[in-house]
Amino acid sequence: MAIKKQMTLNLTDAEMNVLELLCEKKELSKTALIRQAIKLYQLVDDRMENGDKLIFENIKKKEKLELKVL
Amino acid sequence: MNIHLSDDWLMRKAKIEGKTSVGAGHPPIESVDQQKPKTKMTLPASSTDKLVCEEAQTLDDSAPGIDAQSKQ
Amino acid sequence: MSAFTSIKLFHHDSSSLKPAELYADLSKLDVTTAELSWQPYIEKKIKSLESAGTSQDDWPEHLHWDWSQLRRDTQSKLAHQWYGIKCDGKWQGLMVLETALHRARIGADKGKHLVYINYLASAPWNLAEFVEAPVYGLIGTIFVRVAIELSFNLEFKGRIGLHALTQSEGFYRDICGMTDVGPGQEYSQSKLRYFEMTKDQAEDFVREEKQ
Repeated sequence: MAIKKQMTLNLTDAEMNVLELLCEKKELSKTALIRQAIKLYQLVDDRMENGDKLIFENIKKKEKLELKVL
Repeated sequence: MNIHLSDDWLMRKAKIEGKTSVGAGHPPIESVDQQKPKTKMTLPASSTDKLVCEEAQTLDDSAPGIDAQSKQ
Repeated sequence: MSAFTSIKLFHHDSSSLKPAELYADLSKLDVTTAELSWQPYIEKKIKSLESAGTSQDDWPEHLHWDWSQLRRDTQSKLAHQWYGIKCDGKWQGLMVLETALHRARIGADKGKHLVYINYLASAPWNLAEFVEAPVYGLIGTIFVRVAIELSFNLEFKGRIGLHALTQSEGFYRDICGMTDVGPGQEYSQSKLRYFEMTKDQAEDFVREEKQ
């Protein structure tokens, strides 16, 4: 298994609340959820650096939504 | 990867699996071009890859970070 | 290529288990080596399908897979994990897992994370559609077990999902005990059926090992 490094993460109350809600919803520990967030951030960031747009689609509502990162 | 599979289990599975085909693959997002000798394998993606991206309006947002505009 | 886990494959000819190695984090060279060793069998199959006039729509889906390109596309992406099985000095199977973008679609855990098997293939000399006498078996079973284990490690409780190649549907449905969710959904142009293993099914799969 890869060597792991430890870090301390300071969060605001609001951030911690969101983190805890997500953990409960997804049944993940805080560490597991943050790891998932890092993976997702990397995927999205790489795509956007390549000039791709991030678009959400709601098939039922027939709506498209562009997530614009400023 | 910490898996320990006993010989018994492996032999049982081998008898059941036999010579069955086992492949799995992410479906193509668009039709495969039959002229190409190699097909680009697609990475997991949402259906958005199929969409024609229409021009989206962007909102000015006072808060830094992510902006979003819904468009039909 | 990192350290390996010792495993065994089933050698059909001798009906016995042979030692093999399961590798994670494959390098570009590993993937290219695998691809090059598989290529002659794949080319032979393509020629035979072309001679028979078989429509490309009916070709096995994995004939055109470009593993090297996929390796380039997924390089250094945390969400993708590569695994390979080596035996007799040759790559007997490759698997790519995706761990960030897919969610469970069925059951009580709908919406929760799962490990998605992006691609899984056994070397062509192990497959009846390429050779008269397949050499090794258990590649699929072992890879599915690996995906389940990664799912447990990531706290996804063993949940996995995949799109089965047409000729492999029986393996995932009947042998692995996965739920056949069906084709279509967001990949409406594809005939590939989506299969999912719930956490209960994963526990059953693993429990069998201990019996």
